[in-house]
Amino acid sequence: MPASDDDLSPLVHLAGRGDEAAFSELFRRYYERLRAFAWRNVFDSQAAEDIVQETFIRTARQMHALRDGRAFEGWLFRITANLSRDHLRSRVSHEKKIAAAAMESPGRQSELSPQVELALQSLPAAQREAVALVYYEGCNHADAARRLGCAEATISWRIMLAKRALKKFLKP
Amino acid sequence: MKELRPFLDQLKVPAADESRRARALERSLVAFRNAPRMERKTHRAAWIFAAAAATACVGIALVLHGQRADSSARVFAELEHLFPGQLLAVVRNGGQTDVRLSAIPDPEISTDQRVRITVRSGGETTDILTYSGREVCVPLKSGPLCLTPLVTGEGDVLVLAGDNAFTRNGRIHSATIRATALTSS
Repeated sequence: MPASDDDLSPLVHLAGRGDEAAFSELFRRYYERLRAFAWRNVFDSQAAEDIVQETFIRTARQMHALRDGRAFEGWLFRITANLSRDHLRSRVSHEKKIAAAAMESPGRQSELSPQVELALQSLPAAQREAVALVYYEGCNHADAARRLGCAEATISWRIMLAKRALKKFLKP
Repeated sequence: MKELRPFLDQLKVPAADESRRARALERSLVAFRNAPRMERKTHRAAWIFAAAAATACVGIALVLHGQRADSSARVFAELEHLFPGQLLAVVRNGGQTDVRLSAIPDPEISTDQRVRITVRSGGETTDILTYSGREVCVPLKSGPLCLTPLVTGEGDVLVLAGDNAFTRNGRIHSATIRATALTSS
């Protein structure tokens, strides 16, 4: 679970010049990580896949504008985070839908951990993003801040609030 | 996080759907081949929005024709009317206009205060029309720039951009940024 990949500058540079193989390689490297990140934000497999697809389509359109390869990863995660928020914002009665889906699809329960899922869903989107990056992506607070476009102190604060909230779920 | 780790480790991401992954790559490559002028959208519904965006471009071209920059509020209102609950932002750079729409209508979108942001960087000027609280990312020659405008109770606009925060006017790297709240028409 590396917080950051090796230097992407050559690949980003090639992709920016229209090299399809380079773009495909970037897609291969980041698809799964972004899908997992999106899923941990929206808890919906299809939505997560749609979000990542849209992330790459937007990236494809703007590759030519990106000059700094070091900014690429942060760019991808930021787009994914924004699209995840858009998705959550557009969902009417999100909690009710999740509960309804869980009741309608018992099979879904077997592949998930309802308690953890519920615990993470109870967090505000910003805290959930921070947890997804710091805990599951293995980012330090500075990396997470770069990816989400906020101050490091903001990430630390969000993590502190998230931990406080999540601990309630650990109590018997 | 140590005490939470066993708890959070229980969460397993469902396996990817390989056919959807392959489709995502295929569609991304189509967009890549057509960049920067054209965009191929994602799923079935998005084709509708692509057509809608094209319509919006025509619409905005008509709306913009003969109008000055200070008519931004009217432009935005026209597009809101065309796409109720879907308009996220309008980004104008040179002769190009990018109308950003939400895939799913959200009545709450248009209840936020409208904001106009002008970004000048390296000789290019990018004009953004969006809502308070909504992050907009624009591709500048120097790299993508993401901004979140927030209208204050006094009518000022606080702009958040990465670690930067300023009111109304600010500078990030080589870009100068000016933000103003638009009055509703």
